[in-house]
Amino acid sequence: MLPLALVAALSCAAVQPGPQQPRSFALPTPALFGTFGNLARDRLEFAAGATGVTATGTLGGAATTLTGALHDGAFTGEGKRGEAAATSARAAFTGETLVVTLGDGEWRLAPELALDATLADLGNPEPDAERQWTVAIYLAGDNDLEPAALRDLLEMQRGMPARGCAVVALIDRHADAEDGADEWSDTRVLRVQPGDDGTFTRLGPVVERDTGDPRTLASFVSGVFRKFPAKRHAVILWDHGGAWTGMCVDEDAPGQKPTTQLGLAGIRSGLTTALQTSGVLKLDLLGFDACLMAQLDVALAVHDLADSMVASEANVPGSGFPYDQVLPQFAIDQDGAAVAKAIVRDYGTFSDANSKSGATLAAFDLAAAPAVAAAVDGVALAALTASDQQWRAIARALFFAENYETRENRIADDTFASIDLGDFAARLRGVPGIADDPLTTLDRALASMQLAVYRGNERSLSRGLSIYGPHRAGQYQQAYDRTPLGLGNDWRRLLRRVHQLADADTSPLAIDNVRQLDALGKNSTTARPFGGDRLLLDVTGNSIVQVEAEQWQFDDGLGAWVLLRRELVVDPLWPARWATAAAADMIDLVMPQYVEGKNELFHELGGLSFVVTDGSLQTYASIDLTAPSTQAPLTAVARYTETATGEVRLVQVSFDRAEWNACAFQPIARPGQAPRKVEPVPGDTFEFVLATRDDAGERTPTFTPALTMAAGGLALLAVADDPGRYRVDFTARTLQGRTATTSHDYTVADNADLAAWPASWQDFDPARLAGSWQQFLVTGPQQYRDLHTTCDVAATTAANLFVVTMRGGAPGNEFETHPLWLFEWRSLPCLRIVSRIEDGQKFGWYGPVRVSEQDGKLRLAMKALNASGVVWEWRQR
Amino acid sequence: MKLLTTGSLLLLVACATPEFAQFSPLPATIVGHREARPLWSLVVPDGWQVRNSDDDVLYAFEAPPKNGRHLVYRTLHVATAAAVAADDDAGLGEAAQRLLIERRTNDELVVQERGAARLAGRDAWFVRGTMRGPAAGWTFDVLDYCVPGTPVSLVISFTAPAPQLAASRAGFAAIAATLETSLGAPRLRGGDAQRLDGGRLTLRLPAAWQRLDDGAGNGAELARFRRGGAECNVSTRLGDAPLLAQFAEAAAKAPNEARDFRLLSIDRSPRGGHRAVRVRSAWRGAAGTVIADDTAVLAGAHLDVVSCRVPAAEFAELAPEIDRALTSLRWQ
Repeated sequence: MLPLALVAALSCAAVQPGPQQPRSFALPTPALFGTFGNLARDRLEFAAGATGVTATGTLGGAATTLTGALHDGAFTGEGKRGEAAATSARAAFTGETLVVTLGDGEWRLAPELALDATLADLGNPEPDAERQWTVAIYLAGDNDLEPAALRDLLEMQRGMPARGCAVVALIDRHADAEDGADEWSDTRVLRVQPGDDGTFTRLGPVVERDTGDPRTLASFVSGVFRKFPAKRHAVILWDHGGAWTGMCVDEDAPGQKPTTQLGLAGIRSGLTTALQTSGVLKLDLLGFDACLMAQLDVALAVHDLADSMVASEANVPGSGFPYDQVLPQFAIDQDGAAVAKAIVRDYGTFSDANSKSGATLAAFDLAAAPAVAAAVDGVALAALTASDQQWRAIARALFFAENYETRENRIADDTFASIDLGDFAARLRGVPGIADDPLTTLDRALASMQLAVYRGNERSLSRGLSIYGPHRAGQYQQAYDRTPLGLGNDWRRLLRRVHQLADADTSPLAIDNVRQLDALGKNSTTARPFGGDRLLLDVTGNSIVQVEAEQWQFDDGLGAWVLLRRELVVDPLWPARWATAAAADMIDLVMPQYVEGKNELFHELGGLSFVVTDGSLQTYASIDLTAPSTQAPLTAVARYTETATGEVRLVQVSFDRAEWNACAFQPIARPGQAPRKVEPVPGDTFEFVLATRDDAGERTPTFTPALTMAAGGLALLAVADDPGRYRVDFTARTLQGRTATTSHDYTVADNADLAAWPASWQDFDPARLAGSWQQFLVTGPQQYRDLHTTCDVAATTAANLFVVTMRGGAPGNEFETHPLWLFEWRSLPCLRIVSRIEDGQKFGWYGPVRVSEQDGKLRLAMKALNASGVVWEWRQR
Repeated sequence: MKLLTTGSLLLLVACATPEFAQFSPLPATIVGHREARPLWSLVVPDGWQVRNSDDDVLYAFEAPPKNGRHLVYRTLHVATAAAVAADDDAGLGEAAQRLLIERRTNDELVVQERGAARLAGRDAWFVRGTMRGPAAGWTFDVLDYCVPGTPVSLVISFTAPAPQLAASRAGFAAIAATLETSLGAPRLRGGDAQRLDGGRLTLRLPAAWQRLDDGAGNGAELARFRRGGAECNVSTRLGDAPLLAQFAEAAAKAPNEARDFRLLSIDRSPRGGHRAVRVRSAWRGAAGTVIADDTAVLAGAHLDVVSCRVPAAEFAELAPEIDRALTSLRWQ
């Protein structure tokens, strides 16, 4: 036992010297250029000159000069420190640490950015013995999130404790032409103090800075930490997030730069510099109030810069962290883990209360991140070993694992491809050749790293931490090679191997044997609206993930085919799986459960199309229904004219899935153009895009007559297909992006029976819907499945609006829900059934409804338009 | 040609040099009277006249018996000067000599010797050289002493016509040696010398570092100093080269990414001629980040260790003081 304080400290378990564990990740090695420093104020600046490389600065308090040259990324030469004689010198990287050896000394330095004095020099320090925490919040709002940044700033003020912590925000605002003359758009450092008047104490001068520049981050955080010394330190990075690709988008950086953002390397260098220059060894807490940042590569990039991390796997709504609840946590004498867990708890409470059912947030112990990386390496190695035989299973696990994008984006090339790591691992269990041990090790490592996890109702499969998991080669971004896992883990090798094997796959893929049947199962070439007509088709291939159907109508006037809707072929029996299936996205649940080889699919020819109406006119539009999750809307593209300015822009109009009213207008920005908000007012017009094509397959867009925005907005109506020629194109897609197509032509004829649907309501008072009903699923002509579900319908004070108590379920799995029924005429008599699931999220069935009477009891039939082949029938009890 | 040149130079020198009266050698034992001032006193030899003096200044001179037409004197001048600022003893000497030289800038002093002395039981420094006289061709020998102190320093200056210092130097030194002073010790930025372990080891720390009770029952601990949130401990034990190596190895093996600890530097440069290891690291204490600066020196059979713990927020201010303290380490 040595009596030396240092050696005693080194004897602590936490720093017990031992054999170095192989690292299963790596951080990019910096270039030997620029400034390197450490917390002891050792600092050298390396510069290349005509005669070699020189470094000047201070080591161990003595002026130091090195001169020499670079060889293989290392510096060798000679150096002089203080009054000592010149001696040999060497500087080389060990990992990211620059180790400078000069004579008998060795100094460990890290890259350090030059600070921007306007942000870093905030005046004399203001010590406060009561201060527990200093929190630096980096509001990168120079983009379309600016309004949310301003709201959060006000929220911070409301939640700011009177004492116990200092909170300082840097906010960079957008130079939005729509701002008023008194609106500023530059970058300011504001001290948050208690109040509710929206006024803040500005620290430092007014400047315009690039929040995508790591120097801005470094300077701000360094300045705040030096100005307000505290026992503990936190940084919260606020903005759009893109997982390992980075965050903090600045669309209006000074100097007419293109849009910038902080990559992982920028976040790391910015925080490293801030910590070194402010004398802070580590952050106690690093928060990401941004989408998708709870990813393993993000955690690894900052694993040694902070104790705890708070971040979300999923998208974070614009409301972000509930700062009015979060900030008081920083006034308490508690460590970063405790605050992180409190933020997760408060965010969860807030999300549950505000219908954010897709939200997630987790708190992490960053020291455990390397162990998770090692466990991922083990899983990747096991999967690699089995990949020749099992690549399809691995690819399916990548595709179907919990993820945070729409189905459309998941299969696109430019996907974020962020999947839940724990759910992915769970999907590998049982795959032949992949042992359970590495998966169990990963589970345990994840459990050690996760301090707290919140998941909204729609994120039941989220375990807290995601990983980059593109399921096919076209999605893989080469830049991932430079991430911590990309540089030093078999995970990247596994991804590339799976992609390589998928690319080499030449197994047959085909759609054929398309048969059109009528309601009685007889072959047919004519369909009738609501007539029970359907197609059966065979899809043969491996790793099929979806079959898309495009419904075309031949327009005699145009002499061309008109696209009415795009949708996915779904499994009409999916409701039977509803209660028990675990799927990342509802779409994974409603899709046919494709098997390797031959799959027989069912596609209803429902005979219905959608039209868009402004209340007086109605027009077809090419409607996209390919994202049938509970949250995803139906969409159409339109040419929008803002009457006040005459400006014309393309927008995507979203219609609420449950209510079919236009609920959002998303501008379609041109490359390099910042999207601007679209907020239509009465009088503005929309010309919807109709995709057309000729018989040769040449597609061209055409525009419908203009609909005028009215007070009631825009809405969808369901109409029966007009008689004429129709075509449905099927496209099967595999995991690796291979496709096969086929077409089927048919005609639509009038359905004389359809007249009975509206007619049935002519003399019927909808108030009679009140009562008790038994629910059935119609599986064919005169074929019913008793769902053993009772619907007790009660009238409300509103006309045609009913509240329903729905009870059912097998013994031991009973359920009770309380949907609303709304009867209304929308071209046809329709019933809308809207469930507000636990957190208030809407989920609905919608379709034409017919009432009839049999044996003195009412019967109610509804063709659900948002589920192929689903027809419900209720029988009055 | 060579002879001609030499002859011309000799001629020029002969023409430019005034003929001064010759002073008799000044004895090394001074007999005289003590001139006292508020901060100091000094013995003025018998036969010297005191004029133009006040509470701070003493001016005395001796005229030779046959002073000739040039009327030159052997002089003594004592005055106060600004306190000398320095980090440590070595710096103090440099600063004191620099003060002496700067005071003679207008006299075109040519320095011929620098040195140290002990006056009034304290360190003093001197400068010897020549300076021009009040008229062309006049040259005087100069011997100036500086005694650094607080609140002021003391400057004792002697002059004699050149080249007669040889006959006067021992006497000048003897006069200076009669100095008695109540000046405070010079205030070094590096602090007073702390004599530890019976004077075996000394180091300097600025006065702002409060020395705490020695020992505290631990025989190995020699002293503890505290300033603000920082603390430096000096300890010793019997040690040998393997122990020193163990100290260094333990530091070198500490994983850089270990939680709450980061190794910053290991410096094996000798100190005071002894083998040494200085290790700097950072970790987190209860109140935030702490910089640890540990230096172990193998001095004979002793392994002496200076361990400093400095809150990171105070490190920028205190690091130079610790650097100077380590530089000031001396062993008997």
